[in-house]
Amino acid sequence: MTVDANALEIRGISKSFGANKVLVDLNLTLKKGEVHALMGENGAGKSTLIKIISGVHHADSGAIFLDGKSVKFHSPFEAQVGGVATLFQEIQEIPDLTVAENLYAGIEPTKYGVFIDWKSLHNNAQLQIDELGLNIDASQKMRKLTPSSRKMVEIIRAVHKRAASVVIMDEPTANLNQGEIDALFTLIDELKRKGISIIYVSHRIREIFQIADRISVLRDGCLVKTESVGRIKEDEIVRLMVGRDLPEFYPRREPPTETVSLDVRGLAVDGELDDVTFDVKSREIVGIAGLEGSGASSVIKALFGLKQVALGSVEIDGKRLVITSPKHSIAQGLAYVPEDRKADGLFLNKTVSFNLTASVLKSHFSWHGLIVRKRLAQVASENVIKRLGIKLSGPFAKIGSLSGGNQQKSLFGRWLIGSYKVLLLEEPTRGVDIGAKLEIYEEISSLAKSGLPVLLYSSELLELIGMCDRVIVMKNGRVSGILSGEELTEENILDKALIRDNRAIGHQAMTQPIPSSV
Amino acid sequence: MQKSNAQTTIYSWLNEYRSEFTLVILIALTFTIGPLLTEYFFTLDNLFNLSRQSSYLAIVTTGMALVLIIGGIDLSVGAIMQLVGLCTVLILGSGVSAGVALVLALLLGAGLGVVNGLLTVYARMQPFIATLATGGIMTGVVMTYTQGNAVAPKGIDPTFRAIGGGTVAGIPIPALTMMLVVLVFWWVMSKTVYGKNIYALGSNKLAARNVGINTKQIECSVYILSGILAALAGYLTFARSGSFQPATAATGGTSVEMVIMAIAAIVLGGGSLAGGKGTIVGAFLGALVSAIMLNFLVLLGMGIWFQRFILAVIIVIVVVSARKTEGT
Amino acid sequence: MHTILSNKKPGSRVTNKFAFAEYMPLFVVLFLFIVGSLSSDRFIQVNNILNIFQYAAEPAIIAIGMMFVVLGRGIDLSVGSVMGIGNVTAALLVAAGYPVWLSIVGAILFGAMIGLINGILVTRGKMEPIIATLATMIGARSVIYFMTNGAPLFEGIPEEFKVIAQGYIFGVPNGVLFLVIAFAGAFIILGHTRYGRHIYAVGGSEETAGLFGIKVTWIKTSTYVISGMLAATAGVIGASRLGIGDPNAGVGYELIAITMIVVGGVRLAGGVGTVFGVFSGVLIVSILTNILQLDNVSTHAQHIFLGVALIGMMLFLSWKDVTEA
Repeated sequence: MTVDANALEIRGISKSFGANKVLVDLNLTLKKGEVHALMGENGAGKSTLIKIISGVHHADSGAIFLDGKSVKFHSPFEAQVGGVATLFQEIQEIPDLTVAENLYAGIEPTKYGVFIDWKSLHNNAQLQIDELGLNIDASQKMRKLTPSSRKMVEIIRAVHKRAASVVIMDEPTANLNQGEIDALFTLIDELKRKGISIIYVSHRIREIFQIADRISVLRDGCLVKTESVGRIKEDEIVRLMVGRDLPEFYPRREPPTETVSLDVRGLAVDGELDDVTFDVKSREIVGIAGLEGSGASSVIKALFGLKQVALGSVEIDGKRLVITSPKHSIAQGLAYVPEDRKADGLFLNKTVSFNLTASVLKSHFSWHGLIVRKRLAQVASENVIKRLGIKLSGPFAKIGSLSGGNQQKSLFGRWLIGSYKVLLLEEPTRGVDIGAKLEIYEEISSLAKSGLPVLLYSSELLELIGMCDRVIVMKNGRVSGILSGEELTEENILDKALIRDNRAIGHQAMTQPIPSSV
Repeated sequence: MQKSNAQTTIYSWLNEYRSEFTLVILIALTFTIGPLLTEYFFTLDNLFNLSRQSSYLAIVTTGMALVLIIGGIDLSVGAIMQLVGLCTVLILGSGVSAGVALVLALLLGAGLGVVNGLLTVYARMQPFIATLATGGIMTGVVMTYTQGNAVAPKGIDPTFRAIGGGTVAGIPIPALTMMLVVLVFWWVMSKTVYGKNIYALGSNKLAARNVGINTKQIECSVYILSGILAALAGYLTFARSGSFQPATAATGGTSVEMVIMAIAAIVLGGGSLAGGKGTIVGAFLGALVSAIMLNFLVLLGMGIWFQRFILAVIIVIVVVSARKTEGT
Repeated sequence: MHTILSNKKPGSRVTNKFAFAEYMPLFVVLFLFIVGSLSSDRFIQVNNILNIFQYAAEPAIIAIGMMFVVLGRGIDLSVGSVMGIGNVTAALLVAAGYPVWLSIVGAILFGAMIGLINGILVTRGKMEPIIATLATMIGARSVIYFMTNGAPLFEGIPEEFKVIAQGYIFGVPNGVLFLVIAFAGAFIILGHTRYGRHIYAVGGSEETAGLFGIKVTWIKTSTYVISGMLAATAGVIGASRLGIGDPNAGVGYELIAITMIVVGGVRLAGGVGTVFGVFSGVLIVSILTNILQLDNVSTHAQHIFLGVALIGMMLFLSWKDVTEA
């Protein structure tokens, strides 16, 4: 074997925010042409490390060597010019410009040094795309592409336009479905062949075993271990991340009763859902799976009153549910945890107890629905905070300043005050560290045990399999199968979820544009 | 251990309400320095004047504060004051009593607020463009009707002028009204479910909807309240002279000024145009400080245009420094 | 794998609707022409049509400046006052005997300076554009009153200054020429230069534009400077057209300019809007104003119609959004 040159070398990086030491004397090497996975709980220091490499933050001490030369970037743009491209979690794009313009933004070819040379701009861009065998029209506006295509365009820009030698990907698959993830992995293989090195950050262990060459685990700002993929096992990684042994990842379940609690028949939403029929028994956890655009993520929203329901009947404990608005749904006993906690769930600049009591203020903690009974609300929220172990930094601490895990627990804890008949959960553990994940699983399971039917939508198949008694698989807006017991495997879910008809996909892609606003 | 806990609690309390404390200190300072600069400052005459001026502003500011808390903006409040003032004077001219005129004025303000609310909430227009347009229409109506001239009908109910210029227990009626308005809305915003829901909505509209708050209803109601309070301010403003004087370009477009002073007062009091932040007390203190500043400029013999210039500069300083402290 | 990435088959229904929305302003212009000729026989005369274009020049130039700012996700409410600054500065300078070209340059530079202040307040001072430009709107207007003591300036304005806006080239009023130059310039800059496209990028997403290596602060500041220069230019044209330095010039023009660009399909949230659209917006508002003038509706009442037109357009746009969603 020839000498393995290091593409990137990190020596003794330390970083503190105030008194909080985020990275402590961290060393890491990235070989040429390898995919190096970075793992660790939230707060372990992964994202700070990435931000230091890409020039968003600056290290307090230590040095970074790129191709053997010491470098110090002051902005992500500078890093990109220097050969380090970073794909942050959010897609970096200008939605209303074309794909070609996005690819060439800032380095547009010009005529006479002034006017943009549209022809070579579009031709070059299309060439770049075709080279990778992608089916994207360079003159199309970004807004009209599927999320995966947009991610691909971003990757092309990052990799090819600036001649990157190192590419950092932060949770690139967060919003992608299985097919799209496969496409991304094909592209990563291609990059590897070209000698480009990749730092790959993800919470999804299975994915990492599929794509990575080496794995580094971070804990509390220190590098715990770097190991080749072949020499390490899944549970060892989890143990390294958490720093303790995990007795059992998913809580033990008790068999559900036979009483049907939630009965959904022929639910239809224009252009999204058609004839969706299923039931959830008391004490049962039912999962919903499906690719992006399959309607899986719409089922819960439709039940909660966030979609215009065209047809169908829903009964809770034999009583018909009237779906008009979230307000009305809550009043009829539905509790809902939305998938995007920052956008749809939390009041970020308010305190935890404001967040915990917002939904029940009128019904539980007020005098005739008018005047707030502050003391009662305070006591109730303190109980929830204690029960879920939410960590606060002070009496006026805003929820936005807490860690992802504490935020998600608070979002969940909102429904522990008051009594509800059905629990609707969307991605209850997205972007949450393993410790908090386990606590949330435990809480969901104990709520189910107490008799509450739970409907759980998740894009993590392992979570569905681990948590649910049954999983409903969606395809093209319809239920394509309900799996339980032995049949409940990743392979079976994917088999039911995948669409093999090209036309249907084309249509599906078009239903996903970013909504434009005036 | 106990003690340090109490200390941190007090510290975070001070930190939470730092804009309010700063303003209180600022007001105390002006009241100590004021008499040194001009002896006229502490005369009864001037204090009456000051209290009246600050009352119009503080009432409008209270309404605007609600709108800013939900992340909206109401650029039509000045125009509402104008239109309501004109209509009030006209109604009074037809022989109606001052009390009935007040009710009609508030109803008109509510109606104009409904229009703003419908346009922003149900037609989903950006609040600033909707209220810019409705304000423009209202100003157009006022100017078309008056052609820029004062409207002073004869024989209107003398109570009207008494409300504008009179006192109860030695305090000018507009100032009393202001105190009442501020008290009521402080109570509403800090003690009622409605107030908490307004904060929730301003902090995150989608989240508010998902916890079962009827966001549209609340948003609309806030624009209505802003309209009613602007109408009240308009009524009081023209009750002073008992006649209507349109705000023309020559007099500086007072309607725009009222808007920006109200916004400046709120930012001064710790509010933000991004929504979800700010308190009624903060907005009130901010309005008070703005009014005192203007009063000083008048007392120091500055011309009206110089006052306006200083006003613009002060607004810039206030907002920029608010941004800078937010950033840290 | 490729099938999953496919996006090449946009639904034809959607495409048609977008095209309809894009040509909507054109239909409105046509409709207004019909309304105009029905309401007054003076409407469809060559003179009147030239009139429309000539009077459109000043608001149109301001609207173009506003368009630059709004595309970069800002708003400039100070344009009316800056127009007044340009107007009064040029009039004062020519009346004081300075050469015409120098006076014009002076006026435009003054406008650029206020634009620069706006830009710095928004980018460096992190002020919301609405507040920053409202403050400069008040500040600039008070400066005008310092300069003039509030009185219009009638005397000492030379013919060679008046001829700029009052003159004709080949029988076409100069104002029409200014209009054409302004739109041609905007078309080239916004549609075909890197600078112009970067304004769209910044308006689309500041963060991403920064990551793409676009100098966001510089771009944003420059749009305010352009807006200030164009507003002052419109003021100069106004002073020349009437031969008066008018301290009240430009009052209410922010509403007119915003109406024009919104009617022309510029998105107030930034990043979307075409020069062709703004041109249609200018035409629609100008024709509407002309019809009202021919029907002897007063200026103030015209503002009422403008407000209604603005609301109407926004209602149409949000309705379009709802139906397309």
